[in-house]
Amino acid sequence: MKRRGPAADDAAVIESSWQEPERFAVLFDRHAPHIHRYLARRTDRQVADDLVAETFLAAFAKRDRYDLGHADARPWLYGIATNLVGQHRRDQARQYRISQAAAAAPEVPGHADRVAADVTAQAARPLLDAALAALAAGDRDVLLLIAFEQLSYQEVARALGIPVGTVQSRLHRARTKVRQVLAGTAAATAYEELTTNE
Amino acid sequence: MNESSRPMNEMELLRELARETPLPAPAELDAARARLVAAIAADPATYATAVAGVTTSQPGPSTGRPVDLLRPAAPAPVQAAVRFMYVAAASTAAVFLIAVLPFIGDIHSIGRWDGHLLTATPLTITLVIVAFGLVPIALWLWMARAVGRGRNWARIASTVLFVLATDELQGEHGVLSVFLAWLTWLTGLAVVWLLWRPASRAFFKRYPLRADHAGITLGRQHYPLASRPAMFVPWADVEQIILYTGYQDGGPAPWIGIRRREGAPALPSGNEQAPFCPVPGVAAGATRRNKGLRLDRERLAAVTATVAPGISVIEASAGPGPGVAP
Repeated sequence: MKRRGPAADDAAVIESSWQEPERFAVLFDRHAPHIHRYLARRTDRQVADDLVAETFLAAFAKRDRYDLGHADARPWLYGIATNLVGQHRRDQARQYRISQAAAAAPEVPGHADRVAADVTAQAARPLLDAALAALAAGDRDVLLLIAFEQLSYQEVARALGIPVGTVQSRLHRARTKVRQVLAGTAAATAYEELTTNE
Repeated sequence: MNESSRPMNEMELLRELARETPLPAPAELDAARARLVAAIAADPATYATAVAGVTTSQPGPSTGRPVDLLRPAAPAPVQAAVRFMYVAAASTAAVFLIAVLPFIGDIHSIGRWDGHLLTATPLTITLVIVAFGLVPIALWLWMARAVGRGRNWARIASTVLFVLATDELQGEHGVLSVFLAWLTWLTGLAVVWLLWRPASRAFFKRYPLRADHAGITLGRQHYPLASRPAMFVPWADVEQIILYTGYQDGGPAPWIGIRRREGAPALPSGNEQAPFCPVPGVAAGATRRNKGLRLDRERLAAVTATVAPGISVIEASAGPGPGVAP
């Protein structure tokens, strides 16, 4: 018999929510902060406020399809959240195309704004954003679930519904591309410094 | 180059960036939690679960409101099972056409079937064969309809029929017939699996008392002198829920009564004041004895507070006697 108390694992909570749906709120209290933070990292806090609600509403609606063999529901929730981020991005892109509000694509801030010698995470942010934006959506999802949320390969595979081998190959591809962007910019900066000194 | 001066690689940079985003304050999640709670409260399945935990008779229509309307939407496995049953009906029809129709042609042309001289007229034989062929198709369709309405007997009957149908696999000949027969059998297997999944269980369960987003359903009950049909009272008609002690069959027993608002439609029967109910204005037809039931009072109060906040659940008691006069 599965445990039903506060310490019951996620699968037990979801199973009991089939008969007593209000029990699903336990899952929210347990995981919503982390899912919200993940969504905020990938979008912004306001969007995250909305998407975290959507994540749990979607999870509640399809809780009867949850595989009770997995005690930890986090990968499942991250998977739903990731899909919603993708949907959000597509909606934004569609609205952008319709409104044609922006006259030009947002520019990637130039490398002159940064000092390559002491690249901090904050300084690298625009570069990273550009590098992440250039990745295929699937590659980006894998990279960020691992880098931001510290999920294992197996958990990412569950979240995205892909084989572990695909997770590894996507991660390798994503890391290589991001590294190339960072390295390319650093080289250009160094060259500029040399030419400026002459 | 020592560790401190080594530039961060891309993963370290990403992790560093991730640290900039803290966990949200609890208050930031209030709106999202409220949306989830609202969705839970609005979900028809939410309060279809046991307010009282013992199943008695199956509710039937009453007060002009079909009780089935209150049944929560079928869960995904049941919906899938119903779709599979329609597929199986089509597949069974195909097997029938492929396997039986050629024999009908033989009967008409030579008056023999399987080496035996036929004494009945070809028309009679044809009708009998067609009738027998239509039975399994009709069964599939009937079961699909009943299962989709949450009839537990249909769930059991479907399972029994599936087991019996397993024997039919032996009698098929021809590649296409065998293929279709196996397709039908596998479809039946999927149906049985889906119907008995834990997520389907609540859909097939009947409750003697149910409170949900729409109102209160009192199940059918049999008394020595008067049976009560199942009855649904929408929240708009409910003024108060009364838990009290009634006396029947010589002893005290817990009862539940619903005081309906003035102007609510008259009940088909039992419009007189409920005997032993200490609260006036409670019709006898709107009460049920809870003897043998596990009434979850806290849950009933929680459901009412959530979906019908203005309605109170009170406990009232009165000693043995004639009760309150109408």
